[in-house]
Amino acid sequence: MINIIIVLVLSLKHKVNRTPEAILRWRKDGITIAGNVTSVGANSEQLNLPWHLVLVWPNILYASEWGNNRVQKFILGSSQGETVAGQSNGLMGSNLTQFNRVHGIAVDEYENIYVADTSNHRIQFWSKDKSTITTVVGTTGKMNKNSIDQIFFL
Amino acid sequence: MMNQLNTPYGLHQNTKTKVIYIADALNHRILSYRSNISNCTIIAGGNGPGLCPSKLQSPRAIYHDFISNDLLITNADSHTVVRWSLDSNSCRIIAGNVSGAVGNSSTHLFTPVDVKLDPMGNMYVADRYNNRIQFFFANQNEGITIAGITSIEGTNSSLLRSPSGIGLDSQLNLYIVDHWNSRIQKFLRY
Repeated sequence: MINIIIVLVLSLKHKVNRTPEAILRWRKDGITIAGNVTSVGANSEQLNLPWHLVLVWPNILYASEWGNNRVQKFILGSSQGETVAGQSNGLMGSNLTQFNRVHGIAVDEYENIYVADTSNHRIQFWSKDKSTITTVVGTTGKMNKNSIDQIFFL
Repeated sequence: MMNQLNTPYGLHQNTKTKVIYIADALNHRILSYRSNISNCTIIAGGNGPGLCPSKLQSPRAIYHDFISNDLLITNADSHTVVRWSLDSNSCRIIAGNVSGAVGNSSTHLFTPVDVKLDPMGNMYVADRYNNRIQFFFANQNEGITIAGITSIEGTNSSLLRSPSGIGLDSQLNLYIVDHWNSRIQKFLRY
């Protein structure tokens, strides 16, 4: 409640500088739209340590999962996710079609997906129909450390 | 070695140029990748870990502001969000403590891992270990908590545990990846 008031006060304070003059306030209670805090796993209604999301207008949400090594696609309003990159059972690995701890994702205008395959030290590209899966940046399993970083971490 | 990565974390596509930006976290740099061109380009950092104007420190997320042509970058290990000018090739801190100190006040962050802008230029930051989402009016450095409660983690509907990702729809409803709770929460704007 206090936060809402602060936002309103600041909205008024900054009114002069901002267009349009929208009142920005959000409900404090969140609604779970994907995953389940009491049921963590790898079925289509579950998530395991999701990391990043991308919204695609008008009603698609992509979520990467650190714990399941996959990317799920949800139609907003449905709790059923579809695996669009990685293995639907969450299997981790370094093969072309597997991930080892995913973080960021990017989705282009054709709904092809780029995935930061963090612990494989590579960026993977998955075409929308999964017909093309390639490493576009990085070398699987080989990290590049330059000397200045090593000095820092000593 | 430009095409070898060390723990890549963040990805973001420039909606105009279609370039993909890569937060190459432990090389403390941002690379840009263009499809069908084999070499990446270092476009920010790459000078070892550190603070602005020339260094990044474990960058985790990138957002391209097409109005200014700046990159917004979260430095997880110096607890800051910076604006990196692609024109001048240097950065300035726009959120978090100027010397990189951690904290939970309105001008501190604790491992920021995602950043987004709305169409008015207001900024949203996933302040991971403070368990909150911080909102910054355009050009303001004081954050307002709009989701979660500072330094309190939990599983009920008003709490977050290690929030890691932010999305906004056309109505500016807020979508948050609630990482340790293994769920995605929607906070309605009203």
